Amino acid sequence: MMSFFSLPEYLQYTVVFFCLVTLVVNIYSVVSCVIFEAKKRKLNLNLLLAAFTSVLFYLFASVNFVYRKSIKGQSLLLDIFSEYGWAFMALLALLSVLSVLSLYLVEKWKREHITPASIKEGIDRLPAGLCYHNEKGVPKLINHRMDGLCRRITGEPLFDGNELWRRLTKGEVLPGNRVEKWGENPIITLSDGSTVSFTKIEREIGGKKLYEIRATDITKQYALNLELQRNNNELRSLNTRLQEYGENVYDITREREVLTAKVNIHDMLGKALLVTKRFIESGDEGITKEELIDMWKGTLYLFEGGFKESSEDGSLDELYDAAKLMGISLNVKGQIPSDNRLLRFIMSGARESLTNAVHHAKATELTVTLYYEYSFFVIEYTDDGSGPSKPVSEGGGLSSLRQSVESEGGIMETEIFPQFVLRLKIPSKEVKYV
Amino acid sequence: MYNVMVVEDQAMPRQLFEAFIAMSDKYTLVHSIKNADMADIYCEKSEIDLILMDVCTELNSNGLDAAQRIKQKYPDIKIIIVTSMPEFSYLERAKKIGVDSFWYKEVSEEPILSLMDRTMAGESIYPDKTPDVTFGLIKSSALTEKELIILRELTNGDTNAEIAEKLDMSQYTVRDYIQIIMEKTGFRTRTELAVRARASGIVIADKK
Repeated sequence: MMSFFSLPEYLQYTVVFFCLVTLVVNIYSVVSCVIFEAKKRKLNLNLLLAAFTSVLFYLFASVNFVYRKSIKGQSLLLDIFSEYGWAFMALLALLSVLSVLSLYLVEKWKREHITPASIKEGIDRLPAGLCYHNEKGVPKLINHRMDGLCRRITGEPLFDGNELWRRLTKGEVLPGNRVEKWGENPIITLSDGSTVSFTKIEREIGGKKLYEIRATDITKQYALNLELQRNNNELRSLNTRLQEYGENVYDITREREVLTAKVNIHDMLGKALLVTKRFIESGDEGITKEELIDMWKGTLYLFEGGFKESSEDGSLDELYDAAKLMGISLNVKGQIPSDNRLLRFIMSGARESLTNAVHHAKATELTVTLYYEYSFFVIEYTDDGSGPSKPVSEGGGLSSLRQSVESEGGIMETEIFPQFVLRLKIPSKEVKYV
Repeated sequence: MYNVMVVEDQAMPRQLFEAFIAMSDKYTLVHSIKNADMADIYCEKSEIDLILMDVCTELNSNGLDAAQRIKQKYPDIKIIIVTSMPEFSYLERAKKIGVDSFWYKEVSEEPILSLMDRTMAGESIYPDKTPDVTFGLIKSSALTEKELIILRELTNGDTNAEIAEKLDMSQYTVRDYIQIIMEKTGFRTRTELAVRARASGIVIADKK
């Protein structure tokens, strides 16, 4: 059997050194397991390997030292190593193999798992600001960006997540920063011109309730959004002008109609004069006396009434005439608006009320009351007839009136007691308080 | 003798219709009003046989809406729609409502009295098509129905998104249609397109 002491001296030292290297590997594995929070089983295995290697290193180092120095009283240790040195070396070889294998497994595990340190390092590199805090506001994890933002906005380091959020949502920022939007989703433009949007989300992590405050740089998006808003405003104003132009087009078309009518009247008169002249001169121009008389009837009709080039819009004359025709006395209270849109609603409501007054209520008088109530122009119709005994079922007329009122953002109400009331509330540009 | 009511908001065209009626032995003018919303009220208490009804009347009241109400209540009353607007949907809607005849004020060749006679004789007279008006580089008839529908919404001042929502199509489809119309007509911007469409009267936005 080979004795440890039969080995050359440099090999004895090599064995001791080899033992030391194995011990270092074990210690590295143990430290890695502790730092990276490896499973307990893995840690224990490495601790065990380290313990065995330590003992072995102690034995090899001691034997070597005793043997070299020829220290008395240690003959037993020397005897054992003389006799079983090969067994210790075999054990060292086994421990070395196990240690290398364990180191490989630990390293592999490290590569496949994220540690808290990696997370911190990772979020520190994020362009967004992040802060996780508990219900009391105590920060659990903050990245550099968020801490920097907190200092620039509040002038203080981030010690309290709740306080930071309170200041953000209330718009309490240091001079130089500009609050673009406060409230639940605050947006702040910093003194360097960059715009940051903040959000807060409640999360449950590892069974604990945490709050995440996130800061996102939206400088580009915000500038684009402002530009989009400007463009939209411009478009809206363009569309409004287009709608106004649409109103004028009716006038243009009407003017064209009037012009055509003028041409026709001119032609009628010219034709009547020409035909009459020829009729008088020759006595027969392919037209009978009766036809000639009819032709002049029409022409004279135009002269009798006088020519009117335009009609006056905006009067309720026809409403009065219609009511008179129906045998109803119309009573209008309040100031008649100049807005044609409101006038049209007055007429539409009156049509339904007149029909109801005659057919159902047997009324003789219809009162239309006009007044402003806050931002509404109110048109109220009441008659002196017998009110309905049961709720009014809205037929075609009333339901289309309701549709028309509601499409303008208005309200239509009906009352049946003590008398029937139809009330239209139309949003008005004028705001009057009563 | 037939009793006639004229519903026309413009004084001079109204007077002209009245004069035509005065020229004829067959017709008597019983009412001449400006607001189509009041027309059915007048039918209530008067014996009316025929109505000459403009489409766009006083206070933006719509003659077609009035015709619909009258036809529902008094189906025996004959109605002739008289308009100068070449809006294509008017013809279709008039037919759907059951309007008896349709007459374009400026382009119909047949005199109105002759049309009234034929209508009262039981005929239903409609023009074959809407008047063809020049619209940019093309005639209005070169536009498809879908293009006209989108054009009408455009003249209302609506954005692509609003038009898309109203017509239940995607914004991109609306955008493509508008692009095609601009290419056809040669108009360079949507504003120019909308303004010209309005001015020509080929589409009239529904004003509620």
